[in-house]
Amino acid sequence: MSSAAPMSTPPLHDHWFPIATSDELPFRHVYHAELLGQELAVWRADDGYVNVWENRCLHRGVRLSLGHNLGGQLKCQYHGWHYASRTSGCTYIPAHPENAPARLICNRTFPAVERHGFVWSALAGIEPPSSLTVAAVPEGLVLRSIPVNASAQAVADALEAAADVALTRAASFEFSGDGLSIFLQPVDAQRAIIRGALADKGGDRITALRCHNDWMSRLRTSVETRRGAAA
Amino acid sequence: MSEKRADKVVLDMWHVLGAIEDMPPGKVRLTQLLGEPVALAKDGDGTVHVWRPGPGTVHGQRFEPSLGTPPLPVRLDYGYVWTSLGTPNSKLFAIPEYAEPDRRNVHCATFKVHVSAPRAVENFLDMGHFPFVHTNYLGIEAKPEVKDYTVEISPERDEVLATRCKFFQPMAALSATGGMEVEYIYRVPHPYCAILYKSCPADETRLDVITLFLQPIDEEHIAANMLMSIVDHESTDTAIKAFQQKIFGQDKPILENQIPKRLPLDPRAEMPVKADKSSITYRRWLSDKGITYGTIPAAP
Repeated sequence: MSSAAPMSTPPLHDHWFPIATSDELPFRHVYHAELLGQELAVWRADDGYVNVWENRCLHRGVRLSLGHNLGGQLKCQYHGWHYASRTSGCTYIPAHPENAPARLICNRTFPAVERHGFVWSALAGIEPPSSLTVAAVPEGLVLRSIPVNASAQAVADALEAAADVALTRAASFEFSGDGLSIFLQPVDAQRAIIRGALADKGGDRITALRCHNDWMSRLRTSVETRRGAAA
Repeated sequence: MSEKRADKVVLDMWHVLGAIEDMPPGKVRLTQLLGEPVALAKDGDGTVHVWRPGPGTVHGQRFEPSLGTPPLPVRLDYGYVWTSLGTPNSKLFAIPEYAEPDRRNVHCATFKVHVSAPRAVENFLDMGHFPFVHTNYLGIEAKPEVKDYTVEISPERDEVLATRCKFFQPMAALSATGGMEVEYIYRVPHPYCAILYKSCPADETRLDVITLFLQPIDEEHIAANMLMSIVDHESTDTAIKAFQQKIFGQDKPILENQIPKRLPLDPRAEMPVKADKSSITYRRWLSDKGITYGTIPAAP
C-alpha cells in the first residue's frame, strides 16, 4: 500500500465487523461471507487458523466458497488449484503437476480475529486495535444471526427506536444493554446481518435465546415491511 | 439485465435461437437476442419466421400471417434457427461432418445459464477442469496433466484452432468401454460458438463432433445449445442426450459462479498457465475483433 492509502480508504473499510460466528466454521467447511459488498471465503484450517480471503480464484474467477477445505489448503473446484492457509499462496497447479507455481500467485487476504464466538474482519488490511470494542462483548451465548433485507443504517435506526428491548447505541453499528451486545454487519448497501451475544447468567438458556430471537425477528419484519412500503 | 447495445460486428453475425425440432408448429415463441426482443414461429407449411415483435405479441399465441413483421433474416443450419439483427455479411461457418450419411445428429439440450457467452466458450475449450468438474467421466484426479498442444488463429477461416490436444478420460463417451487417451481438436469459428472433435470410441478412423451454439440473450445470460454429430449405432437418442446433459449439468454451477460474469480481455486480469493457451488465444482474437459484448475490454 502506498502512503496515500489511508486518505483513500472507503468509509467503514477500517472498521472491524463480525462476518461469521465461530460455529459457522465447522471442520473442513468453507463459509461464504460478505462485508460491504466484498464477497469473502472464510475457512478454518485444522490448526485453528481462520482465513478470510477474497471469494475468487485468481485463475478463472470461480468462487472459492465452492471449493474444498483440505485442512491446511483450500482447493478450487474448477481446476483443483491449491492455496495454502495463512499465506494464501498457490502451492499446486494440477494441469502442470511437475512445475512449482510461481510465488507471486497469492490470493487477496483480509485480517481476521476470532473472539467472543465471532470472527471479525476489516476490509482495509489493518492491524486489530488493541482496544477493540469487542472486548466489551459478554462471554456466554451467541444469538442466532438474523439476516435483514435492508441497509445496516436502516436496521440501526430501527434498533434505536425499538420499544421491546432497552439498548444503548455504543457506536454506529453497535448496541449494548443489560448483558446484551448487538453488532450489525453491513453485507452490502441493501443487506445487513444482526449478530448478538448474551451474558450467560446461568438461567434457562433456551428461553433466553428464544426470547431474543423473537424480538430480533419482529424487528426484521418491521424493517423489511417499512422498506417495502417505501419502495 | 444489461442494456448495452451490441457491437456492430456482433449485430452483423448470425446467432442461434434454438432447435427447429423444439418449435411446436403454429405457436409464437418470444425470446431475446443481444438484449432485444425477438419472436419466432414455424407456420403450417413448416416455414420458419423470425421477426421483431410488437408490444401486443404474446408468448405461445397462435401464429397468424399478419404477424411476422418486421421480418428478420432466417437461416436453418445444423437443425437450428439462426437470425441476425444487422446485415449478415457471410454464410455461417461450415461443419462438413454434419452431412455425412452415417452420422447421428442429435440435438442434446438447450440450457439457460447466467453467464456471458465468452465465459461459456472458454469453459468448452478447457481440458484442465475435466478431472475436477467431470470426475470419473472426462477425467480423473490422478491424471490431471494438460500436455502441450498447438493453438493458432487459422488465417483462411478466421477461427481459433487448437490441435494435438490429448487427455486421459475414464469414460469419454457413452460408447466408451474403458479409459482411453482421447485426442481433441477445437474450433472457435464464431465468438459465441465452438466445435470440438474427439476420438470416436466406436471407430478409430473417425472423430465425433460436439458443438456448442450460444444464444446471447444479453451480456450475462445465454441459452446454450448442444449438438452431437457422432458415429454410434448402438446408443439410443435418449441415452446420448442424457450423457451430454449430465456433463453440461456439471459445468453450469461453475459457470454461474465465475466473477465477473463477463470475460476479462486484459491478459493481466486473471492468471493463466500454459494449459490455458487456447483461452489466451481466444481472448486475444476477441480483442482484435473489437468485441465488447459479453467481455470486459482491456484498457486502451
